[in-house]
Amino acid sequence: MVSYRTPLGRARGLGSAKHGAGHWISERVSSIALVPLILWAIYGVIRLAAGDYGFAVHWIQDPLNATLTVLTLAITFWHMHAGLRVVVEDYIHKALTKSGLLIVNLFVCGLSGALAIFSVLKVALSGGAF
Amino acid sequence: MARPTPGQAPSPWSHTEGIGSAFVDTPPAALKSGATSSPGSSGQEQMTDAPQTPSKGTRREPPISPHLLTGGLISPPLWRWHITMWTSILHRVTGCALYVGALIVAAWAIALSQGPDRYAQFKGLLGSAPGKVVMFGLTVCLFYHLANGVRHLVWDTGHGLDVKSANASAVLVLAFAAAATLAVWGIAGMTGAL
Repeated sequence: MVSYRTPLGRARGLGSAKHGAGHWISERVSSIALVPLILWAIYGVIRLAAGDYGFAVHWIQDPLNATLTVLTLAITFWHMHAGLRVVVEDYIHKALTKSGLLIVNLFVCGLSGALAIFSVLKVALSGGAF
Repeated sequence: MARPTPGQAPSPWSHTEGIGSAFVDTPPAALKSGATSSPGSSGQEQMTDAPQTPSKGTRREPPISPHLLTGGLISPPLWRWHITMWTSILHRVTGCALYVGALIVAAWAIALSQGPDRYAQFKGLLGSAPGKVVMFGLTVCLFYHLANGVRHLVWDTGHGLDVKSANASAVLVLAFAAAATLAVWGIAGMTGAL
């Protein structure tokens, strides 16, 4: 197949989007990571739903549970930010509204993700004591 | 196609020259002999050399863009919904629903960090009837988005992109979402999680 791209364009690898395939790849990589993590999380939710507060604290204190929970949260909020970003970019074409929604999306995902991870770490490290 | 009776007043688009005529894809030769693209035209009309007037049962429908000729969601004549279109749209819709689901998970973590009372309050909210409905819907969305996400990852490798495979994987994904949701809620019910 003949390539019509210039050598410089191919070397830069940025394409028509001007920022390369980084966003696309990060969406795929995060989704690959989330397949096992979400299946594990569903198992965790079933166990947590059957237990009370004491069980939840005990469960999250386990290093494996704490680590996987933090990883699931971080990658989930990363992935959902990437996903809604594409939705906004596809449907909103007014520059100001689009920029505003993209910033809201980033801030909502960043804030709620950080709050969730910090809360998990606090309970995991302190054992639920105040 | 509705044919006008002789007594009927002519519709604005029932003339041969004008807005409508430009959109009708009748070959010039057929127009000359009086035949139109109307499926009701019989062979006998084509035999006559006399120019046919629109009053002789050749009323045209107003021109409509093909993509509007749906006749509804179920049995459109020209254009129909394909299962692959549904799965594509559902991937976005479930993704947006799971956005809310992730915020609920964040609320769970915050409630856990706030102590036993807040945690019991949060569990009571999710365990209520409306809470269970939301959680059930989110389970469907999660399994659908998960399975369809894997389908997209397979597509990204260049496999399964032909129509037959795409239709089959669409059915598979929908069936998995239903089966996995029922299985998880069955297990949750058996282990006392509900």
